[in-house]
Amino acid sequence: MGIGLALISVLGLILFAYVGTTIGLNALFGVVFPYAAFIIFVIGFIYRVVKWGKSPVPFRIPTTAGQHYSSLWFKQNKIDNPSTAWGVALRMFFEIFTFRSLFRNTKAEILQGRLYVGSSKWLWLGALAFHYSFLIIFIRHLRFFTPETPWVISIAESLDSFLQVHILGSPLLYITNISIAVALLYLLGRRILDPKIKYISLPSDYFPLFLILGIISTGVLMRYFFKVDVTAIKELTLGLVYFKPVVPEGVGSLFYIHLFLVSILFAYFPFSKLMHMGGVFLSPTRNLANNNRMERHINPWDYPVKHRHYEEYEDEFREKMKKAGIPVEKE
Amino acid sequence: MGLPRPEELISDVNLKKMPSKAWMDTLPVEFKPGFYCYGAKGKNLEYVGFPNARDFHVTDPDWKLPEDWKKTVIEGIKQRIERFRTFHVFMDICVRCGACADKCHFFIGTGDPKNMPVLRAELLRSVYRKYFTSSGKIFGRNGGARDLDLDVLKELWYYFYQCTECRRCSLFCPYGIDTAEITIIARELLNLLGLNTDWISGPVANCYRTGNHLGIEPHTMKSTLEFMCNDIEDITGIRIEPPINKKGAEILFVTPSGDLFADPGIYNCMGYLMLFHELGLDYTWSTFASEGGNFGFFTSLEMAKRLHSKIYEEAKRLGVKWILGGECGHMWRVWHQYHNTWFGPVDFLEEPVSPITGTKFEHAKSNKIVHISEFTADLIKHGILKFDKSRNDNLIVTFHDSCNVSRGMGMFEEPRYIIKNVCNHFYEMPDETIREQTFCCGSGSGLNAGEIMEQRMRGGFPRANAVRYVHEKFGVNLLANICAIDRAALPPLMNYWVPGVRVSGVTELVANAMIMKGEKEREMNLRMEPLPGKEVE
Amino acid sequence: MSINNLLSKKRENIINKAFDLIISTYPEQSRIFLKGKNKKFTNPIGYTTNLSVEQIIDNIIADADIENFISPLENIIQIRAVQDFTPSQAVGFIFLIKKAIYSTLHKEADSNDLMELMSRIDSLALVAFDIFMKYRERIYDIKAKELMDRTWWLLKKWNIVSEIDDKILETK
Repeated sequence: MGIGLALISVLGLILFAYVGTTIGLNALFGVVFPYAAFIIFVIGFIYRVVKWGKSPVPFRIPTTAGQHYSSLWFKQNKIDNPSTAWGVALRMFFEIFTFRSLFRNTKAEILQGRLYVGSSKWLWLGALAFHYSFLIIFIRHLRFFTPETPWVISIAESLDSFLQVHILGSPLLYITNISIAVALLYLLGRRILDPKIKYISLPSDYFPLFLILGIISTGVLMRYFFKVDVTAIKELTLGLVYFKPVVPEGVGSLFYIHLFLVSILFAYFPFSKLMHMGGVFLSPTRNLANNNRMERHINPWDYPVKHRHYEEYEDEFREKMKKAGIPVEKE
Repeated sequence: MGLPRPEELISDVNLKKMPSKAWMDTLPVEFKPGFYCYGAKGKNLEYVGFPNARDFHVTDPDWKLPEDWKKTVIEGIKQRIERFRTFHVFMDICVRCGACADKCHFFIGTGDPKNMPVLRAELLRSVYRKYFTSSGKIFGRNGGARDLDLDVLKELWYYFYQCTECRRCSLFCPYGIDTAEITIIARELLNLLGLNTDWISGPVANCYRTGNHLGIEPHTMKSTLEFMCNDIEDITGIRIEPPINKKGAEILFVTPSGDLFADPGIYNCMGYLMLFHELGLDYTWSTFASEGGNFGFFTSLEMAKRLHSKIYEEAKRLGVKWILGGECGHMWRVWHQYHNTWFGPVDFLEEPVSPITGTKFEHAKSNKIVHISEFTADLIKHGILKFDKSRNDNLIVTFHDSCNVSRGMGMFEEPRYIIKNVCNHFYEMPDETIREQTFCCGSGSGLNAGEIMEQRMRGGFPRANAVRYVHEKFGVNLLANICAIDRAALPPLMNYWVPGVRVSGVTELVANAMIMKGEKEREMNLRMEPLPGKEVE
Repeated sequence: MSINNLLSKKRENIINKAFDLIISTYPEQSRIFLKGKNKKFTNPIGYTTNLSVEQIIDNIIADADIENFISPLENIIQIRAVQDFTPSQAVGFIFLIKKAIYSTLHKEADSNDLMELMSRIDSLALVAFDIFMKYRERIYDIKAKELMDRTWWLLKKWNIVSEIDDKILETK
């Protein structure tokens, strides 16, 4: 049921942008919304991260996933159970760039004579494909915001299109356009088809999926099917960068819908689960070294607690202790 | 019309009970015998000063809550959001990818969707969203938020006392969200209202008073150790006088009190006594620090600290140099990840050095607490101990990694090294059920109460199933472990699922194989059963 | 074609159907997970149930004696006896196996043969109930034994309770 709401919301947003630009509110969609969204994103993101950062880490509780460091001769698993800052950096690197924890359940098993690979491998693959495709697409888009295309972006573009395939005589096909769409449909599909995942899904789980699907579709339509005036678009985007906003002629509704959905994504980001992008760096079960017995971790809000002292204990049991011949403090 | 078809009778019932309703609509929770722990007794709560102390019966509609209980919970959440980055971040960043869903032994064993770690956390997260996030306030239910009411509170109680804090889910979460941490905090909130279980609050009160969960008073502890020494004398011909509350000893030894009274923990305790005697170790037991386990950890971190203070105090009073810890799971989670933060800097103790081998335990240089398996492995490596492995030849052994020592510390090799040195027959269970991926015994974090035996059997099924595999394949008949809860919880689990597999601590195996100076020819193992080859025909 | 031949021809079909029906007695949300039949260690319910259904069907095909059915029945019932099922739900899966066989074979099989087979399968339900009781009793035994394990040793040592040992027998 959450899925319908999410879909309707995204379709509503598309309709809103379409109607808005049809009646000539181009400046609103081309300038005001993008600026507003960007500001909300930056402030919101920082606010959220700072707020998390303000909550202290009272205890050092890493989840240990391998042999610990000890003074004995056993070989430590330095990545999954780090005892130094370098080890933690390595663990975090693998966590963030290869989704190591998600990968963990991809162990292949040979059972009943057949090779069986855990279904979660698909989750890992889908998540990885989605995030990397998104990153590359994001980098590619930076050329709209720089007067000259930096070499990094050019390389990303040529790598992304190395297949050298054209569709219907349109520009070179980007692999990421395919991979992100497939990954998104997989992520959406498992939410719909696996009752267990469906059961835990909220509207806010479907909404970003539909939103990004909307962004991808409008982008793909612009690139491959309806030729849009790229020069005019770049005029607009560069205008945003140089704080000299212009609303050029010849930019159709399709572009504004695309830009509006991106604006929504940016503005929505800090209020949503998409903040996992920032949160993953702050997760105390991953970003701390397992060296509690070597180095003391300080709890900033530690307070003295009422507890039973030996004296009270001895007072209660002194006679029994003496009778049993257990040494006591006060005879 | 007429009689139902059998299949209607059996499958449709469950369909009706668990229809395609959203999970928020499946309230109230139905409390059925075998599925919930008994409520706490007022006197136990009162003794340690928990709020709202009164006898509380789970099945009563009225839980006798204070007027402003809702405010208490919400303020409690606020305080913990501000105090724990774990809690704060974990409440916000879950994307409900479902990677954890099928990792929980309770979900695997029950099929109850609310036992999926993600949903267990959502139970609380939905309340958090309602009162602390803008999206929850604006979008309400569509934003995944819900009001806190009595039914919700009961649901929280039910499911957060169905989590054993084993952290298996945390291993697979791409953001390291740790349900154990969420459970710890949820239980703190419940304890603000006096909502505890009898099985947890009783031991907590006992532990506060006598130093151990069972309420063993000092003279009883002494006699208990003496009883063990009598048995040891019968077995080995060697008389041991265990040092108790001895000032100026080099080492304070602390172990869970389960080893002092319960079968098969007692045999492990005899093992400690024999090992230390053989080494001529200058150590002492303490009747006050007579418990390393900490049921306070299953109520609130403050209570955990209150109960653990005695160990640090006793070490100081007795003037020992360092502390040696017995085999226990959550005791080691607390010692390894909390103790040093609570009580450090522990500058009145010295950096632990094995008096026998001279090995410096540098990894414990700040906390000054060494695990018995680390200590024993080091002894074996240095060839200090002599073994007759054939005494364990009737045992075909496998090793169960305890959750807390595995995922809250990372000690995997030491116990295996020891077992392989004292037993001739050792086989591992399948990879996905051991080491960091180990399955819980199903009874941790205060859930080893008798009244939830069914729940424990279901939760322990994934573990038992792996044992059954090695039992059938290799004839495994002994499940070794380094945890007192395991020693209490695994025997019933084995009796139900894999009869013929017994349970023991690792030190019991060490002591049984260990050749002691001046011992007579042994006829019996520590359980007073004939050794292999010594059976009476 | 004899009913056993027919059965063995449709073996896979029947097993899958029966397995699906039994899994559908679990909550809807967990079914997809439990249907994973190959994960022996990370999904023991699905694995055990599937394996046991296979063995039961194979035994039916082979006209095996009742003793051969005990072990697969035990494997399923042992699980269901500690789950959230009433006794009738816990043992009633036999009727789901029946249903799977009937719905697969009723068009082709001779109706007398089929009736005969169905009625034989009913006996499994009776055995299943015995097994169910055995495991429920085991639970109660375990509860009692746990209480003993927790305290017996101590009680004995304090001479609060005592056991008849060999010496007492000798002096008698």
